[in-house]
Parts: sequence; structure tokens; C-alpha cells
Amino acid sequence: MAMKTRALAISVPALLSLAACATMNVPPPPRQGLIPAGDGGAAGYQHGIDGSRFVVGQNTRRLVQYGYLLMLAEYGDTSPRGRKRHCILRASVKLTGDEGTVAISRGNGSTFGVPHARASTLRMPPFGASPQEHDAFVRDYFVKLGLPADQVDEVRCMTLLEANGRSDETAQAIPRVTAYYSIVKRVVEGIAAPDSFAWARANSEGRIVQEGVYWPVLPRGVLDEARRFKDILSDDQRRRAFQSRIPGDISKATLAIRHASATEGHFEVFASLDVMTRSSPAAPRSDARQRATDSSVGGMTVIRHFDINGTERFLPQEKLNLKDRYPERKDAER
Amino acid sequence: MLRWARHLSSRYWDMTVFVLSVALAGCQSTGLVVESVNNYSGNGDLTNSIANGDGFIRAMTPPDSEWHVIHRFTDRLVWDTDFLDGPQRDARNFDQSGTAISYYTGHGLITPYGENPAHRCTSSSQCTSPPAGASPPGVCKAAGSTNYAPGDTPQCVYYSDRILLVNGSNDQFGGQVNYSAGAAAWGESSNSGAWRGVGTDGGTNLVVLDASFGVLPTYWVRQTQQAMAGIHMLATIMPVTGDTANVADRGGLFGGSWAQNPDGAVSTAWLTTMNSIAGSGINGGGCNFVIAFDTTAAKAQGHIDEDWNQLRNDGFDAQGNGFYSARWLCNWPSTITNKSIFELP
Repeated sequence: MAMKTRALAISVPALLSLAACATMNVPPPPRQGLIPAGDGGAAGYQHGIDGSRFVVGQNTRRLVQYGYLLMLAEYGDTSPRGRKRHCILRASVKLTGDEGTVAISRGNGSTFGVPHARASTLRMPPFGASPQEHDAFVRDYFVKLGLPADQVDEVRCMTLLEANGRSDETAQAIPRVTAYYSIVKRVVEGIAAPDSFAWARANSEGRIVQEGVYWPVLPRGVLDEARRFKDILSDDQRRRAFQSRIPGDISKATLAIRHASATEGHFEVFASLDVMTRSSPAAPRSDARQRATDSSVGGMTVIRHFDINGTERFLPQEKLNLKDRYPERKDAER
Repeated sequence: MLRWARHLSSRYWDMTVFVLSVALAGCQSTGLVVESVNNYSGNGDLTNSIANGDGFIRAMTPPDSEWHVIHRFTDRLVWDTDFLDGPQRDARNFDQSGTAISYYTGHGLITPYGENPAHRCTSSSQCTSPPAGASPPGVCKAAGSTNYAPGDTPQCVYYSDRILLVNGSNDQFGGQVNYSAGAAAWGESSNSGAWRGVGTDGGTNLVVLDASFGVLPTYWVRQTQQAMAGIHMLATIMPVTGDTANVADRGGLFGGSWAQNPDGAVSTAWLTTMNSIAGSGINGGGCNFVIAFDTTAAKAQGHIDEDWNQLRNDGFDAQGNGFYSARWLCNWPSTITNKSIFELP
């Protein structure tokens, strides 16, 4: 019995590992470039491996796994047995030229270039002499590949920092800048679409170290709705009437085109007045600490969405609840 | 080396499979614990925590996934004792043996941090008057000019413990989980050893605190060190001039990164969720943050570089907290190289 259990413990993970890597009937990647919208809509952009400067490695191959079409470096021997070997070995052996994976969601086309944890490309300093140069490089990179230039709003730069040291040091190590990420923001007819993104990290060789793109087509209907919404908000009387229908102060609210996140397979889009609310609980015990006195912080924020009728809307990712799949139980004696 | 590996694997293929399978099967944690709170009984209710936690579960458990759910608790079934050390507490909940990732999404408690009224400053030497509930050392938090977090001006801030806030039906500590002062200790196992003095009955490898004020500048080491008992990493959010946004897709984006490349770095996966969330997931200036501790600088660095396969490996459990390695991705550009972007000297 013990032998059987042990054999099972050994063989099951191995079989699962092989099954997960199986390559069969792998579809071709979607065509990279502009996605036409049809009459009156806003074109989208499909990112892919063609023309990408993301470093995958040599002899790329494709497989479908966990809802993504993956493109990754092949390990030498391309026979079925070689592929199996690759899948087993890549957990523990550094493969020459094996730098990362491009993953395209089969549900929505969002594309991510993810480097391996110790890819050589990660060790290079950032591109350019300033964050602004990095931003311009990333913007041009995507536009040259087909991202609609007229939909590019600002490019926002993020800074990657690292620090290490002894935990008991009185003077902590200074975090050092190691990379930049530039995020291209989307706007259509002056209205932001904040759920769309095209971002990348470039190294000093001009290679893309990491990237993510989700820039779906926006249909004509939602643009028409956004225009009407804009008209309402620019008219004092109609604006006041709209304000009376929703909670919260709309003077600081933002008109936006909101669509499903890159995490979702089901696409929904609507014109939204996004109202930011703060949720700041009081400490529950009488002896608990007082609230923060730092004037710059004020509690967790939640963005609420209201459509042109004043009805509160929720994006697909905001409606997810797995309670039926995972019934909750908890014993009081725990 | 590569040629040797190829040769060996070719000649001794069956043996290689056997050895690697034993290695992979013998010390792997693949469980997920997710605790999500929206319901604060009217005292600061949230709307996206459960969807956020469930998005993480969904992303990590597609068909054929190597991960599985150990616990999914929401709202009133999230108890403060789930997170605090004890054989009947965290060891059966947030820090249960066999867990790879423990994910909390909900409120972090706002605690004293700055002076009242705000003490505007130009140097950390001016920060000597902590408010009640906070303690020295004070620093002049940098903000509001080129290279620094946008949305405020520099002010004095001080150390305070970090606290999660839950609203459980069986809370024993007022719903507060202080993870800075020693009552929380995560990841202790037979692999980590009992160096933290809390036994070896835990076992999670990564703790995610998707909450307000996970850590604050510049106290990230002191605020997290006591919670370390064997975990490989702690991932959270560090607001600087704003606060965490309660969004529904941070968890899904994080988990999605595993599906996109299991050989990718877990720390980077957490940090870069910021790039794909509308508005970055932080209202104002702030950073996604990951920290790892261990007995040597090299080991701490090794954790921060771990991929998803290594995260599962209990053989990598941290055996001390004498050294740390940390990463941030902050939502503003900075070029400062000779001083901190978080504080004025």
C-alpha cells in the first residue's frame, strides 16, 4: 500500500507536468496590428510576437495552456520527447536563449510578454537618459506596430526600485532605480478609456524586457453614448438634474469609457461617470488608535460607475463571486 | 553545463524523470488561502474585495492547474484569529500547512503617522514630535516636487504598527490584526525551522496583503520583520501620498501572470499589476511593494527573484530574518540615484 501511494505521489505530478505541456492543434496567433472598428467605432490594436522587440529566445514554439496561447523558446530537440524533456527540465535548468514568454489571452486578446525570473535582459539598465526618453521610446514602439496614434493620451512612467541590507541597520539602504515602465493611456474623442493599456519596460539595448497590451475595439454605440453624456455634463441645467439622480458629488467625477478588465473573457463596455468615494472605517475598539493625521491619506478609495441614466453599473470583474464554487464553512472552535 | 544536462537527461532519461519527480513532489505547497472582506457592518464597507479575491482564485485555478483552494473565506467568516499565531488560529486558516499563497483583501487600519496639524518640513532632523500612538524615528516624507510622489508637500511622519481590519463573527482582538508587533508570524514549518519561536505548524510561502497602508515609507523593514517566520515573500501596497484603491482586478492580474509564464518572477508579477489597473490601483502617489527576508543577503535576494515553481518549493522556506531584499514599483517617474525618493535627508 505504501509502495502504491509512493508510486502515485511520484507519477501524478510527472504526468500532470507532461499533460500541461502537451502541444496539440495549436492555433496560429491573431494577426498583429490595427483592428478595424467598422462604421463609427474606435479601432483597436492587437499585439503579438511579429515585430515585437520582446525577447523570447531562440526557436519559438506555441502551445495552449491555462487559457493563453503561449509563445516560448524551444529547447533544442523539437521532437515530442524533446518537448517533454523541456517541460520537465525548464523548472531547474537555465536554458540558453530562453528569456521569456509571450502570452495571448484566448478570451480577449490581451497580450503579455513576461520574462523569466532570471532572464539576462532584466540585468540591463533602463533605456534612455531619462524617464521621458523611455516614455517616448515605448510610445513610438507601439505606434509603429499599429497602435492608433490618435488614441494615445499621456504616457505615464513608473519607477522600479530595489534595496537590500541587514534588517538591523539603523540607516536603511537607499532604494535604487533599476528600471522604468511606461504606460500608454488611451483616449477617444477626449474621453479616457482607462481599462485599455499598452505598457512596456525597455532596457539600454532598446529591447523590450516586459510588456502588456489590451486595446480592444470600442463599438460605435458606446461612443455615441459618451458624446450624449458629455453634452449632459456640459449643460448646467441637465447636469444638475443628473446630479440629483446619483449619490456623491459629481463636480470631481470623471466621464470615461469603461470596459472589462484584461482578466475577463466576457466583454462589456459603457460610458460612465466615475465617482470616487472613500471608505475609511473607524477603529472598532474604544482604546484603539486614532485615525491618521497625515493630511495626504484618507482611506481606501472605490470608484463607482453611473451610466447615462444615472443607474449604477458594475464591470464584469466587479461582479465576480465564486461562492457557489467554494461554499464556505468554518467551525467556531477554530 | 547545458550540454551535460542534455547528455545526462538523454542517457538516463527515466532516472532523471524519477529524480525530478521526487524532488518536485516531495516538498511542494500548492494551496491557496483567500480571505476577502467587503462587509464592515456599515463602518467603511467595500465593494470589490470579494471579486478581487475571487479573481485571484479564478486566475490560479483554470483546468489542469497545479494550484488548489484550501480556504476561501469572506466577510463575517474572516476572523482576526485567522491571521494571528497559534495552532488553533493561523495554522488552521491563513497560514495552514500546504499553503503556497495566502491572500487577504480588505481594509488596513489607518493609524497615527503624521503630526496634527501636519508638520511641513525640509529635513528629517525636524521630525521629533510623534503623535500619540506613533513613535520615533521621524522622517520628512518627500512629496510634491520632481522625482517625488505627487499630490502633497513634504511632512513629518513617524513609525506605527501596521494593522489589518476585519469584521468577523468570532473576532477575539477587536477585528484588528497587528502584523508588526509579533502576534502574527507566517510561514513557520519543518523546513524553515522554529527560529521565530512559534513552532513549525504554519507553512504558507507568500503572503499578500491587498489593503490600505500595507507598509509606509520609510518603515518597511520594521513593519514587516516580525511577521516573518518562514515565508519566502510578503507582497503589499505602500501608499505615499494617497491610499490603496479597492479594485476588483488586482488579484486576477496577479494570478494571470502565473498562467502567462510560470517561470516568471512572482515579485514582478505583483509589482506590475499596477500597469494594467485603471488609475494604477492607488489614488495618489504610491507603490506596489514586495519584501523578502532570510539569513543571508544572497538568500533574501534569491527569494525576491523566485519564480512560481520555486515559490511552491517548501525547501526554500526562510530560516531567519536578519537580511532583507525589497522591490517597489512606484506610480511616478524618478531619477534620483544618491538619496531616497521617499524621504528628505
